[in-house]
Amino acid sequence: MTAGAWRRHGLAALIAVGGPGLITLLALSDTDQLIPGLLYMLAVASAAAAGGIWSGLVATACSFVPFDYFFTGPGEGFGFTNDDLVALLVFLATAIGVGWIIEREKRARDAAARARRRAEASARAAARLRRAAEALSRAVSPDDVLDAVLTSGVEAAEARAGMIAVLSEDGTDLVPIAWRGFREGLSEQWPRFPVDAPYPMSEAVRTGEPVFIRSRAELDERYPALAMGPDPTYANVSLPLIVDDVAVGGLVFSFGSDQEFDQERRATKIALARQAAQALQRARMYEAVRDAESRVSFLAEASELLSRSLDYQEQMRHLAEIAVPRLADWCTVDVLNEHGGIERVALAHRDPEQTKWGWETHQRVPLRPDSPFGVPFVLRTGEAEFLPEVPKRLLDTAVESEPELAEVLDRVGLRSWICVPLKGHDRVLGALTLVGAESGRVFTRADFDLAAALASRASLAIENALLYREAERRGDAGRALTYVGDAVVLVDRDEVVRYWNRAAELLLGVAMDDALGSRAAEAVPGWRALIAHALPADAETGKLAQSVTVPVVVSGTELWLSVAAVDFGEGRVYALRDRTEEHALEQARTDFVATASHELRTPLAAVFGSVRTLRRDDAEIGDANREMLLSIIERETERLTDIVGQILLADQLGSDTLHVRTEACDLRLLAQEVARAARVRAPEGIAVEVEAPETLPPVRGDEDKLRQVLVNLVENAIKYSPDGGNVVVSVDVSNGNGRIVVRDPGIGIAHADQQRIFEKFTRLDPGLSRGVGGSGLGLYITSELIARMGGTISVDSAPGSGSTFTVELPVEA
Amino acid sequence: MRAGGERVLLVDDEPAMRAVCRVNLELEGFDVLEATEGREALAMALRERPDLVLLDVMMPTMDGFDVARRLQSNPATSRIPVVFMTALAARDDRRRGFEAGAVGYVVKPFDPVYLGETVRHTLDRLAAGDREGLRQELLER
Repeated sequence: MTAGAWRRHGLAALIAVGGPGLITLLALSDTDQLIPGLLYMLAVASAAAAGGIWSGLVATACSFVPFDYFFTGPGEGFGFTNDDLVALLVFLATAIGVGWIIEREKRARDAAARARRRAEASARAAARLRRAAEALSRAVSPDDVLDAVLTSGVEAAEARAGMIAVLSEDGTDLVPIAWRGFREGLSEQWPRFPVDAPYPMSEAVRTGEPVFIRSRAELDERYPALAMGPDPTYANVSLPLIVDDVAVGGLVFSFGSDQEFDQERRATKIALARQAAQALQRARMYEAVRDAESRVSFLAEASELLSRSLDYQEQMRHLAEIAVPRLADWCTVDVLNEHGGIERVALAHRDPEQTKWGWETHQRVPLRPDSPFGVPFVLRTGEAEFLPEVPKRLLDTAVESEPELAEVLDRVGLRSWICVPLKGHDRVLGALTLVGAESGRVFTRADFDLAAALASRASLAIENALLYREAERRGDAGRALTYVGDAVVLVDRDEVVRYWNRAAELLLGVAMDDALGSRAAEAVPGWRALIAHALPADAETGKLAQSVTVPVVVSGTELWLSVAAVDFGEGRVYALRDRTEEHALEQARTDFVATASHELRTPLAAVFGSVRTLRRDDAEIGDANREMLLSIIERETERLTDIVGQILLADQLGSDTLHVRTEACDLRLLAQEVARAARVRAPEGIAVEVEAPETLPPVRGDEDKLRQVLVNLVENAIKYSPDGGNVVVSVDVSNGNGRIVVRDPGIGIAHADQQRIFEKFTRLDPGLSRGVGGSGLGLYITSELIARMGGTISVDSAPGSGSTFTVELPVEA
Repeated sequence: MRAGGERVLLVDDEPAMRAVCRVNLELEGFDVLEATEGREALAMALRERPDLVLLDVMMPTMDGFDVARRLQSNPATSRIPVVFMTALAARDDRRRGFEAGAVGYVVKPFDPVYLGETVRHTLDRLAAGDREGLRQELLER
């Protein structure tokens, strides 16, 4: 009892005893009653002080009877006197006064105690919250968050179990991510539930307000849909987890008994939920970072692994093995083989038994190439499939169209699905599949990105492996082909050059290093034109390729190349041969046939016409005409002989069987002789002149051949001077060489053609439109003869300004 | 049978060919004029107004098709019928002859004995107003 209380009780005693006692002493005339009256009054005061007003009143009643009986007057019994009345009033006043004071004192004392207890409870709650906050601040996973929250609850002898759920990515469902204290199997029973369901947590997340439920009865009444069944369920609290005013999930506490939730408990829970929400958010961010780190390291590991071998099937097997269970529950890799079939090269599950089952099932239930979803779809379209949460109805649809899938899907328990294509540089090589199943994992966008990154590395590895295999297979043949004289070029189906031999380098002017790996059309200008006419044979049919010869411009030069092409499974082989010379010769031969036949036909027509005319008997021809026709026959026959002689001569020159003598020749005499003969045959308007010094040293040569040279040059001069004029033949010696110059005033020769005229079969006008006949052999023969006599020939001319041919021959020593 | 001295201009750069044709045409009663190349032929046609031109195609400086076109384009000579004599026997060459306005096309080598007859036949059909018929035959041959 405090000092104040003692004072108050003392006062009460003084008032109770002193006041009425004094009054009684004054009022009672009979002193015999004074002592017992004071004693009884003391008893009443004590009773009131101990038990309050009521006990004071009882004590009054109990005190007054003996007092009145024994002390108000001996032997008087219960006679009620004025003194008695005073005593009774005094007793009553004492009881009431003392009792009132005491009761007030007691109420005050109780209130103080209650206040103290409340303060203590608040302090404890605050401490719990603080400890929870500390624990939450260390939480790095949703499990840690739940632990921290529950520990706080358990310390308060409150919650025995808890669960945290977060909103699914699409915001339609709540997905429990951490369970504590509930019975086994409950988490399987509640993998997720809709936000709009009539459940306490759904409501809390929906409204952002906590839901407090005091008992099982209340739960069943408010949420009949929850149907908790036989599980013992008492009070529970569902709290929304709110970050930045947005509900991200919910937290539920379950209690081991029915509870009352006063304002303070409610406030504490809400504060806890707020902290939990922050911690959860932080934990998830942390998890995201940790995931990202683990993805990077996974990718690095995968890359390293892929570079380790050149057997892509082995690579894919390893890849699938490291993917489970870190990335997925199941991982498969399927590739398209060269016939377009689907071939599974890897399948992995953490459990070898499951892996074995997977392979067996794949044998039994192979993928349907035409399936509208899954691996076949991805292989066909090159588009990825990403289903974070595979909808049930999709699975149902799949089973409907492919009933054999039911068994597979049943056992796998497919929940989340990623299937990404393995793309070559423009064809789909295969597909990488990740499956989330029994672990309950739901693939995120980050998982998908990782799968895509993995796929691109895997594609590269497969392509390299295929190339290597191809290269290996071709190795020996390739080494042989390197030294084949024909250009051999192999392109794949995308026209990318995969083989390029030495002859191809020389022929097409593109180095092997530049060509390999490039598209042929980019490496070789004119490639498309080159192969446009090639009719590829198919290696399968066994027919030999037909080659065609086509023109193509390589580094500014026109070449004629024969092209043969053969298709095989993975591309096409081209064999190219330079046929430019053959083609030129062929062209020249064709032209020659045209010109020579014309050249032969003209004199033949004259001979034939003359003979037919001479034989006419329907009219008198006359002697003069007869004589003229006979000379035509003579002359044209000579001309025929000349032409045939030239053809033979050209043939001898070509086959190098011509014999050239070496003797001293008089150029002056030869020139005069040829000019004289030419004048006889020259058309009107043409004069043939010879310019020569009086004396001239002899040159060394074959006289017949030299005459032939002069005849050809003079005849050309006349032939190409249709407008007449002077053809001048001059001979002299200059710089120790004998020199013949034949000059005409004719049509001239374009600069570009001046070299060609000395080539075999060249006529500047193969179309004959100019009508100047010739075998196309004259200047070829001329230049060849001069060369064989050790001399040279050159031409100086311009169109319309005539031509000057200059022959130089060594002087006879 | 002797004709009434129609004048035929013979254009060919081969002297032997001209000689043989001239003898046969004269035996048929034609007066024969000669030119050795295109420009000479054009000048002579303008001056002499022959009844028909026998025209070689392949000649130096100007080919026969060109000569025929030039004759056509000059009103003074455009009515003079042209018959080509040429070694060019392809269908395209015939078409070029047709387009140059010819009424006949004789492919070398031919029998000169019948050249006069051909010229006579052509002149008769022209006299009968069958120029287009001749031209169509030229193409269809």
